[in-house]
Amino acid sequence: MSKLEATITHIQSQEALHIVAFDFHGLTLKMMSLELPKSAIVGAKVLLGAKPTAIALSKGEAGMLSYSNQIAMSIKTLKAGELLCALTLEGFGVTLESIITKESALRMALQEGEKVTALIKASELSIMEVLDV
Amino acid sequence: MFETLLSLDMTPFALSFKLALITTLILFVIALPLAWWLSQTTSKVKPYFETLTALPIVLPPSVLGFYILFALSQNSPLGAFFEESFGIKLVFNFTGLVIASCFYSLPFMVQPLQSGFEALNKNMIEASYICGKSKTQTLLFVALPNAKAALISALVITFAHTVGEFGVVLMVGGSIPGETKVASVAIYEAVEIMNYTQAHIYSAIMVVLSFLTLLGVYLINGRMKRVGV
Amino acid sequence: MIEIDITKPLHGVSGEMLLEAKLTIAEGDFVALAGESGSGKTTLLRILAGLEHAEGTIEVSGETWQEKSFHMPPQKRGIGFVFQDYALFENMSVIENLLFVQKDNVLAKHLLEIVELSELSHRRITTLSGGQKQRVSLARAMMKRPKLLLLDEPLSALDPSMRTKLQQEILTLHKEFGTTTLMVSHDPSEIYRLANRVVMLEKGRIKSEGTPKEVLLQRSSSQKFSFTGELLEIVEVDVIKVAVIAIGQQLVEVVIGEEEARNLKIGQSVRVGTKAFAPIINHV
Repeated sequence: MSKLEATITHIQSQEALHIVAFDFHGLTLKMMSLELPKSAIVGAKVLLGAKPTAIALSKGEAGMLSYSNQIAMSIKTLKAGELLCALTLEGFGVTLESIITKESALRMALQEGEKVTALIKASELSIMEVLDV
Repeated sequence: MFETLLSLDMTPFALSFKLALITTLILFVIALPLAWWLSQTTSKVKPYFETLTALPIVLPPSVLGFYILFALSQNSPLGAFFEESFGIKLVFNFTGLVIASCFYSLPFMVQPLQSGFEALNKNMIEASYICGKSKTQTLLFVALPNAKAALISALVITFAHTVGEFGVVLMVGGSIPGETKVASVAIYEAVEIMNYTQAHIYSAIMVVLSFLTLLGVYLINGRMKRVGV
Repeated sequence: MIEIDITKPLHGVSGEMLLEAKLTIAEGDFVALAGESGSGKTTLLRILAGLEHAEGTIEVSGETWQEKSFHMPPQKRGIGFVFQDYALFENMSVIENLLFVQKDNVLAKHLLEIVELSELSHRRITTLSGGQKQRVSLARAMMKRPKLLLLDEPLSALDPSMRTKLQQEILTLHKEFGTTTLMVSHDPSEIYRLANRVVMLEKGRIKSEGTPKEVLLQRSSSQKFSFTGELLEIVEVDVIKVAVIAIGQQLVEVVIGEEEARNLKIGQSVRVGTKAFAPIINHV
C-alpha cells in the first residue's frame, strides 16, 4: 500500500455516500467512500492509501482524464518481470508503488528518472488511518 | 439332605432382611437431604461432614459397636432417657440393631447419592431454580428422577451391606433368636458349635442372595445407561 | 427500565480481573452481549439471573433484585434463561418440561406451536435433536412470561440453517411477549439480525456500546469490507507479491506491493479490507 499524508479540506455527503477532498502539498486529492471513520472531519490529518495495482501512470500530454487524483512524480526504480512491471515513484517526499503490465511499460518506454503522473481513481483511494484532528 | 434343608431355621434370614429393609428406608429419608446438601454446598464445613459420613467405612465395626453400645445403654443419659420416658430399651433388641445399622450403613447410602447428584448437569439444577422451584422441589422432581442409577445403587448397596454386617450387630444386639440373631451371627454360631452343615447352607444362601442382588444392580445400571435414562 | 451497576472479581484464564458493568437497558430492548470468551459476558448474565452474587445494585422496572447484602433468589426474579447446553429436565417429556414451570396448558401449547414442536409434545427429551432441544428450552423459558429473557450463547452448538430458523423464533417470542432480552453471542450476523443494541465487553469492562452497526462495523478506516485472518505466506509471482491469508475456514490471496510486504510478518494476525467499490457480487 502506497501511503500519502494529507489533510481533509472538504466533505460532500449525499446520504451514505461521501466525496472527501484532501490537501496534499497544495494538490487536491479526492476520495469517494460510503462510511467514514467518525474522526474523519475537516481539518483532520489522515494517511491515504491505494493499492499499487490501482495506480496508473501517464506520460507526456494525455488529453483529458477522469482520474480525480493526478500526482506528478518521477520514476525511482523500475523492475520488469515476465508479464508485469513494478515501479516506485518519488515526489512530494513520498514514495508510491505502481504495478502495470510489462507491455504498457514498454509501449510507454518508461525509464528510471523519467517524469510521469500517478493516476488514482477516487474510488480506489482510501483513508488508512486518521492521524489527528 | 432335603430334610436338613426343611428343618433348617430360616428366622435369621427373615430377620436379616427385615433389618436391612427398615434400615434402608430410614437411611433413605435421612441421607437424601444430607447427600443433596453435600452435593450442592460450597460451605467450608463440607469436608468435615463428608469425613464424618465416611467414618463407618474405615472404623472397625467393634469400635462403632462399642460406642453405640456405650451411648445407648441404660447407663448412658440417652439410653436412660428412652428407658424412663418411653420404656424402650435401645440395646440387645431389634431397635438397637436398627439404630446401629443406620450408623454403620450411612456412607453406603450417602455416597452414591451424593456422587449421583454431583454428576448431574449443574445448568439443569439452576434451570429448575429459575423455573421458580425451591431446593426441595428441585431435589424431588428434577435431581432424584435424573439420578435413578445412583438411587438404585444406593438403595441396593445399603440393603446388601446391612444384610452382610456382623461385628456391630453382634456387639449391640448379641444373639437373641428371633430378635437379634441375624444370618451372619447365625453362621458364626453354627461354626462355633461345629455345625458345619448348617454353616455351609447358611453361607451358600448368603453367597447366592448377595450375588443375585449385586447382579441385579449391575444389570439395571447397564440397561439405564443404554437407554440413556 | 433495567439498571445494572455491579462489580465482581473474576478468576479467568488470563488471571484476576474485575467485572465492572454499569448499564441501563430500556424495556423491550434486545441487547447482545459480545466480547471475547473470558470477558465476563456469561458471568454478567448469571448475576442478573441470581445464580451468582456480585457487589452492587440491580433494579428491574422499579423492583430491586440486588442491593447491598440483599440478593433476590433466582426463583423470585421474573426471568427466563436459555443455556447453551439446553439444560432440559430429561425425566420429563417436552410438554412436561414446560408445565413444570407453570400449570398453564394453553400457554404451553401456544409456545410449542411457535417453536413448531406441537407434534413432539409427548416425546422424551433424549430422543430430540439439538435444535429441537433448544426450542423446548426456549419455550420453557417463556412459560413464566419473563420480564427479562437471558440467553447464553443459545445457538452456538447448532448448525447454520438451524441457527437462522431459531433466530427467527427468538425474535418472534421477544416481540410477542414484549420481554427485554439479553443474549450472549459471538456471531455478528446473529447480533445484527436480532439485537437493537450491542454491549461489547473486554476484560470485564464495557468497551463499547451502541447499535450493531455502530459497534460491529469496522470504522477505523474508510474500508467497508474487513476480515481478520492470519498471514500464512507471501509468494513472489513475477515482480509482484501475493499474500496468502486464512480467514475463518477459507484461504484468500491478496496482491501486495514491496512496501506492504516489508511491513508484514508470516503468522501475523492481519485485517483484510477493501472499499465498497471493488467487490463484485454473484449469485451462489
